[in-house]
Amino acid sequence: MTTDRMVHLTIDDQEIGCPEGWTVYEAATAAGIHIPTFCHHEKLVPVGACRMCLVEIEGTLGLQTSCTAPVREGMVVRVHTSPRAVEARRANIEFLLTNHPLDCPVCDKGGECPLQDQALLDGPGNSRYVEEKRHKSKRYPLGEFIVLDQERCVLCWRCIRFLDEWAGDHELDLFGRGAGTRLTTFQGRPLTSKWQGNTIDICPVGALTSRIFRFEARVWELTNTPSICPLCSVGCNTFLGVKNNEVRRITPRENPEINDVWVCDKGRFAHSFVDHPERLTTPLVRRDGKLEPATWSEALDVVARGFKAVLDQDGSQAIAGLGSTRVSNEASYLFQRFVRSVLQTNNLDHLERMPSGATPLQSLPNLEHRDVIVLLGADPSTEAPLVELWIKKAVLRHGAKVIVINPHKIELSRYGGPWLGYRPGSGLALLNSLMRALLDTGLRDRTGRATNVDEVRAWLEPFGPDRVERTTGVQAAAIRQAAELLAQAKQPIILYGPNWLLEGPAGSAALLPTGAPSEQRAGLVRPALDLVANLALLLGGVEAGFVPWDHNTLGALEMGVAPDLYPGQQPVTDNRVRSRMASFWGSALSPVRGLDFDGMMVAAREEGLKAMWILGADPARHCRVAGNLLGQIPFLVVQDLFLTDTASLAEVVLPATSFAESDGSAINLTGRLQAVTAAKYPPGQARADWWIITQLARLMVPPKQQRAWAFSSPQHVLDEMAKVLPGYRNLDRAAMLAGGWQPPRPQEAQRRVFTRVNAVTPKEDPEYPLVLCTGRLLYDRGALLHHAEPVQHVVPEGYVMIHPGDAGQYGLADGDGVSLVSRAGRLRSTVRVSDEVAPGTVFAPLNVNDAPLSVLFDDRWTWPRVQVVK
Amino acid sequence: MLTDKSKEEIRRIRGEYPDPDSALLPALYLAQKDYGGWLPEEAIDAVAEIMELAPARVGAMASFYTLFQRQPVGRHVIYVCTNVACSLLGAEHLLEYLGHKLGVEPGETSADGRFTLVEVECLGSCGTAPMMQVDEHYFENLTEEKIDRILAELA
Ligand code: SF4
Ligand code: SF4
Ligand code: FES
Repeated sequence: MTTDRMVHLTIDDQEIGCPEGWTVYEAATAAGIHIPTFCHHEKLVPVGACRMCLVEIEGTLGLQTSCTAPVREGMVVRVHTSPRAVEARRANIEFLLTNHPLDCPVCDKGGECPLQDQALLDGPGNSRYVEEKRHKSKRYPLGEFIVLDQERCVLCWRCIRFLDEWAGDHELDLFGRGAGTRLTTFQGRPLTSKWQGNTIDICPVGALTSRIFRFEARVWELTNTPSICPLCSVGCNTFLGVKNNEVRRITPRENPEINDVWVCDKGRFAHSFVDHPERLTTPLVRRDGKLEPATWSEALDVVARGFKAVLDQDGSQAIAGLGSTRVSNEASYLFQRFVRSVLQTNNLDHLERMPSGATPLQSLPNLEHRDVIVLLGADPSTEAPLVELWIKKAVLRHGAKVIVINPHKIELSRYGGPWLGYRPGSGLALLNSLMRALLDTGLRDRTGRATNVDEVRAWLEPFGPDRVERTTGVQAAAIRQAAELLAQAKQPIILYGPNWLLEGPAGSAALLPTGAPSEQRAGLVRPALDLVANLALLLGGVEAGFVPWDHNTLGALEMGVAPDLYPGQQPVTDNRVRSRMASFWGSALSPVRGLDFDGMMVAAREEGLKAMWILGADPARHCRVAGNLLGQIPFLVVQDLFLTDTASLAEVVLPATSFAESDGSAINLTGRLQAVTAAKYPPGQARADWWIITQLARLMVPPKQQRAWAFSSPQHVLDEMAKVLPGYRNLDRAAMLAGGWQPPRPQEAQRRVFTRVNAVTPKEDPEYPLVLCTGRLLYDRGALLHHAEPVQHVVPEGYVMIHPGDAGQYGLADGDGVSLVSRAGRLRSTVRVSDEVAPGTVFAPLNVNDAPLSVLFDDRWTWPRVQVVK
Repeated sequence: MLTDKSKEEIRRIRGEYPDPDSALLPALYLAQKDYGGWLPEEAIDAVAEIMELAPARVGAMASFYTLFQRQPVGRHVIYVCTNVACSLLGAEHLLEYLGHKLGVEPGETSADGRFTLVEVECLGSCGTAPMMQVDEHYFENLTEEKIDRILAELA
């Protein structure tokens, strides 16, 4: 352990001071003295297994492994000035090489291999070994992603230690002993860890190589461009290794604030959608009912004329734009600017919108120091894997507890923290009950800040843990156990996800008909947010952070792709803000709030919506009702990477670029603004979103407004964003490129009052006795992943998980083919019986069934009730 | 199957160490007894579950020590040390002798299912080399005649 005290020692005649607790290796490295290593890795606990780092320490017998030897005051160490140590290291390399195969010319590690480097630097240069080398297994797949060459392995334990210390997935180990020792899994079981790809990076030889990258390129042929992973809200920093204009591999780029030196296997292996043959390569225009290839000028002309015609005949209220949580900030910003200033409407929205009252997580590395972590309708392991890794660090290194409040068990339930598996729709009652149990432990609001803690006690009277047991399906004992843990926690944190927000409308039973004003609908998630705030306040004003699913969820909202908010989340109804925006954008702006997505769909049904532009979203796939209505919009324009369900309904389809093909930026779940850099050329005629929007605007705006659309690069768009967005004035581009730039956080007013939330028990429906809840899997057949062939092998077949008690009652067994039936529709699936789901609830993963689960939903605000029939 | 008694015993041993790894050897030993002298996959999984350790960790441990068997064994297991001291005093010859007598190579079990022959590293009895261990007993200062007698006495 490192302390503040300094220790002084001499290494190779150099006087060095370093903190007590460092190892000799660390002290030498910090002083610029090179010591070769194999087993040592700065992110792993030292083991001293490979003997490569031997040094001479005065006063000790024999040579010492510097990676494990702690520094002591007055120590005298010789690394390169000790002939004995130099010779020992040279001999060690020679030993390692006696049985190491001469594979370098065909080994993927060649060119970035520590063994190659050290053989040159510290080894003898040639071999005296002429005997037959030892033979072990050479092409041994450890699972879908990694192939092992046991002959190349130098038994350094790095891969084992990483999986054990970081991922908590001790799946690899060394079997046997002596010369016969082999790295492998137990009984040849395939690796399942979602972190396994990292072992490829840290293996100091070519023993572990990627099955996806294998033989694709020599590493020196790759151009490595810094990038950001687009597959979840974490936004891990990566390098895209490109050869011949194809992404061949993705490797992590160190960022201590986000992904340290790791990435998850999804981010690493699921890149082939970028170079997929089905990518759109030319604009498509509908002619005689069929989408036909067209040139950009033809296509843009059709779009411009189409929009103009609608503006002239039906006015701007008949047009709408739907953006996305997946595209860049620059795309989102220009898109809303176009819709507002050119199309003259605030009919703007995006799906999966983060509610304005939700607060982003403050920091990922800080998760390590939390002692109790509450996961509320959030499953980081599948939704935002790097969050899981930081939580595991807290658990595995510091013994943190994880309380899982979710209708089904999640991977992080494995650490024995209580699982409060509630029936979907009863979450508000459950959280009230947890508050009540917390008060029962004698805990009052810790900071003494709250003004109405006594009222709370009275409100919560009906929510005793025993009383809610029947409605929530959660055992009173589990609630009390969670309360005990929380009452004793010193640094708790609450993380909540999109699934928790759905408890708001479900639990308040205030079902609004589709088409109610958007503010009212947005208000429906309020109770879910209020309860989170109540809990945080009771625990002493602790942090509660939202963990969204999509890459740029925060960016879409911040850029103002919303009917009610301009960039910077400034209200469109505020005259001062509006006139500021109008002057930036060189055009008058509509003062009325626009339609949100549901409003647009109502307008479509009533035939009031005549044109719509959809950017990077596929609502037809995710909502069956929406799909039908979109088909009725006379002039639909869709911009995307693939011919999605929604795109096939369009009049004009515009081929866009992927994250690998255009510069831009995104905001991750902690609010960091990060740069994405183009690493390759787009396929065919595909163009960047900012370019498409700019071109279209130039076709449509009058001559005197042309200058307002003179963007010639995404950097220019960012320049304007920096002026328009509050807090962006000091935007630091260098920081944004290096590791992300954090805009100043608006000072949140500290909450002082508990908000009363009345939880209403959801109505039972005897005909449809079960509640369906859905969730994400790490690997699915979603928009991008289903074009990433390597990960498709690990996507399970669609299933519906049901509790053994319910399965018994309805006569269902594992593997039964069934129909899930709701009032809205039906879907075929296969039964999985498991006690990992709460009684009365069935869980079905999103995006793995042949048909989308949306056929079962009648409106997108509540979990449907279903029956399961054979 | 692990007997309830063994399960309880394993839990007790586990509780005696701050780190469950430390209790693995006695735990595996108990499991090996319950499973008829060797450790099938199921036994490793069972121990791993009680110890809350990964099966790979437990399996690797079992594969390191020669006193654990991962293949079915005969009624008795003969461990012959062929490390330096024993070898100098003829252990290799005795191993061959035993193999011949039982009709097996090291690692194999005799056709009548009575004996499994295993070659091992030092068992810490160098002063009385050559030696072998049969089940849980040491037999020291071995000669061919002595081996004949020992085997004859074992059912
Ligand atoms: S496979 Fe690589 S990382 Fe793992 S033990 Fe062998 S050399 Fe080390
Ligand atoms: S954790 Fe998220 S951002 Fe990071 S590599 Fe995985 S999918 Fe990509
Ligand atoms: S690096 Fe020190 S023993 Fe391996």
